Amino acid sequence: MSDSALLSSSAVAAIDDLELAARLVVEGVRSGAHRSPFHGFTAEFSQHRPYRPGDDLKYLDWKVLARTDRLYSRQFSETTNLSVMLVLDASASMSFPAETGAPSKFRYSAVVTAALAYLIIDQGDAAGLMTMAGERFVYLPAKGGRQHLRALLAMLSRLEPSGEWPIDRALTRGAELLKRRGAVIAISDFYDATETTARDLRRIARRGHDVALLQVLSRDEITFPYTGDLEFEDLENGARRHLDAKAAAHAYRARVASFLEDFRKQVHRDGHDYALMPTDIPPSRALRSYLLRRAAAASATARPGDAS
Amino acid sequence: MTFLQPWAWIGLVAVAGPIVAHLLARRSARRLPFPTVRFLPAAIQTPVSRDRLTDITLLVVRCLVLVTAAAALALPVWLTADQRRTLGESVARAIVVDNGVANAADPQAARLSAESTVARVAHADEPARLLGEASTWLAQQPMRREIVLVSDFPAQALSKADLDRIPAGIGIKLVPVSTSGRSHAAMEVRDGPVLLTGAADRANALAAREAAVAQGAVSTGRKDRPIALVFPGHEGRDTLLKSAHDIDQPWMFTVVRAVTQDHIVMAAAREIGKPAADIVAPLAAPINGESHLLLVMSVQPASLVSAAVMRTAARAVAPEPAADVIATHSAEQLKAWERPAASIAPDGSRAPEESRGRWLWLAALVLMVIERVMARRPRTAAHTEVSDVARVA
Repeated sequence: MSDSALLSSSAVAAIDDLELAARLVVEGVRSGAHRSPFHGFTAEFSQHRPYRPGDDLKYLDWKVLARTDRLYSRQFSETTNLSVMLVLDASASMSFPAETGAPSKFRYSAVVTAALAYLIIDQGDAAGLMTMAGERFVYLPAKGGRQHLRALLAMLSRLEPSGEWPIDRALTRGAELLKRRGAVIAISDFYDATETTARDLRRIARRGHDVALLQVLSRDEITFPYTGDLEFEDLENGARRHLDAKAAAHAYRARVASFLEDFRKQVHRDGHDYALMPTDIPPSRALRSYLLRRAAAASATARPGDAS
Repeated sequence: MTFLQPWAWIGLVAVAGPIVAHLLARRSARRLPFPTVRFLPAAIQTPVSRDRLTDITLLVVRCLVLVTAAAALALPVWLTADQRRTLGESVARAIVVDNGVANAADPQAARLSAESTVARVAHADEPARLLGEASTWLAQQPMRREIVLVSDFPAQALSKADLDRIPAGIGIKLVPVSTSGRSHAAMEVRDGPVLLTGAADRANALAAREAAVAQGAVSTGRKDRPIALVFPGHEGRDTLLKSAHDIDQPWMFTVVRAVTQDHIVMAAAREIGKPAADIVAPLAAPINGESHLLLVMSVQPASLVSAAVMRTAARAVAPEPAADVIATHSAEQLKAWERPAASIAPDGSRAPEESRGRWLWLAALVLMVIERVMARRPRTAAHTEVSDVARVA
């Protein structure tokens, strides 16, 4: 699929209806994907109940009708083979950039999160949402179904970035809340990642969870296109730094590049999934690229097992 | 290069504007919320002193815009060597001729006009009044320019102040002509004393009267106070003296006293060794039915004392003898007031459309575009790290 056919990040972010935005992103993802990275669902028989007018006839148990001459509908309990906990960074740093027309990192992350949830639930898997900003803790358990998806999207829509993000606590808590083996997908700028975070992530992985880190950054954070006298104010802790931006640009870019490189190496060394998503890249393209890479990696690891 | 409107360079004062603005502009730092300041170096701070010029290039461009605009307003004219030589050899003359001496001045004016590349001749009773008009006409001539005044330059008709009002760069030439031709009524002796001489002395008597006139002091006589000088050779002298009687009119006594007490007459009388009273005897007698004062002369008309008596007698009956003296500027004074024409017309000598100002306006426009582009440059910082980031991604 060509890039021109994808909605730009600004256009997607401008859509108020998060479900619609997510669907548009997912359509973009699907049209480019060859194979779903998530497995399909199975439905397990649960019980019979008396037929009520309006019940779908396909759920009518014809065998029981033939044996007993009574109308019973079959009920199934939907089962999933994957539970995904989406851990979204809702700290104040994600509200950048606030002034320009480009989408903020949080809005971009929300659209990506919604698209992932849409994709996962649409395939019959379970998706949950968890976010933590300061002492505020928002949690929605991983479940499947349209109703749950709508609840998840509604919760996402209500979120506003603020405060700081204790990433280690958030990830640990998110993993704990998954009742069985699943995946933890964290969407953040990961500015707060530390050695402790890396250790926690390794522990989560050892418990059998699949860990993916989607790092969302604004392009301006990377390229630092500022000049003149500027007073930079830290969105999370309020610290200020008065600089000649032009003179500081080189050092800043070098430090950011070093940070990103170190973080990427650390994540790959620990065996986690990682993707950098600058906000000027359409969410569909960023997500499709990530999912294709994930699917390719999954098939590559599955092949030796199949052979044995 | 010559400027048609050199005063426009005053506009260069405006150059101080952007410099002062750059110096005085308070560089209040704009606050920018940023995700994290941990990657920002702490040491690179901007000096906030006012005397530090930021963006020198932009300042230079802005100053150049103003300089170019001022130069364009000054209407510069570039002359080639040939043009400059041609202009240097050409001269435009505005020739103002004094009507009072027109007869003598016109030939001079015609000669000067013929020697000029362009000339305009004007006549005026008061030449000073035409100087402004002449300057205006000359200002439009693309060559050396000169005002020429042809006159006998009476003192009251021209002053230094009149000449000072002529714009710099315009030459001044003052051509004096003889005042002998000036037709001042007071200089004519239409009704001077009647000269009664013998036929042989007639010419001498007229010569003596001319001598008196040449002194510039003989005025019109008064018809109600006729005077007759009776010289020894006059044929009717005896008859006339027989009919004469003593003077009886007050004015006659006045004239006689003036004559006998005039220092020139007295000096002339001393020359011939006689007192003035012996030279002139006053009587009164009718001539052609009109009572005349007879000044019976004991000397011949061709003498200095005769001329002095004629002069004094005429002055004594003149209504305003002092007004007949005509004072003029000296030749030295006129030379001092003259000045040469500038080699090249400094201003106003070319029509504005011949100026190269339009090219300077174009240059100013281009500089303004450059200035706009530079002023909008701030957010175009290099994206040199994009490739690195792409590699990281």
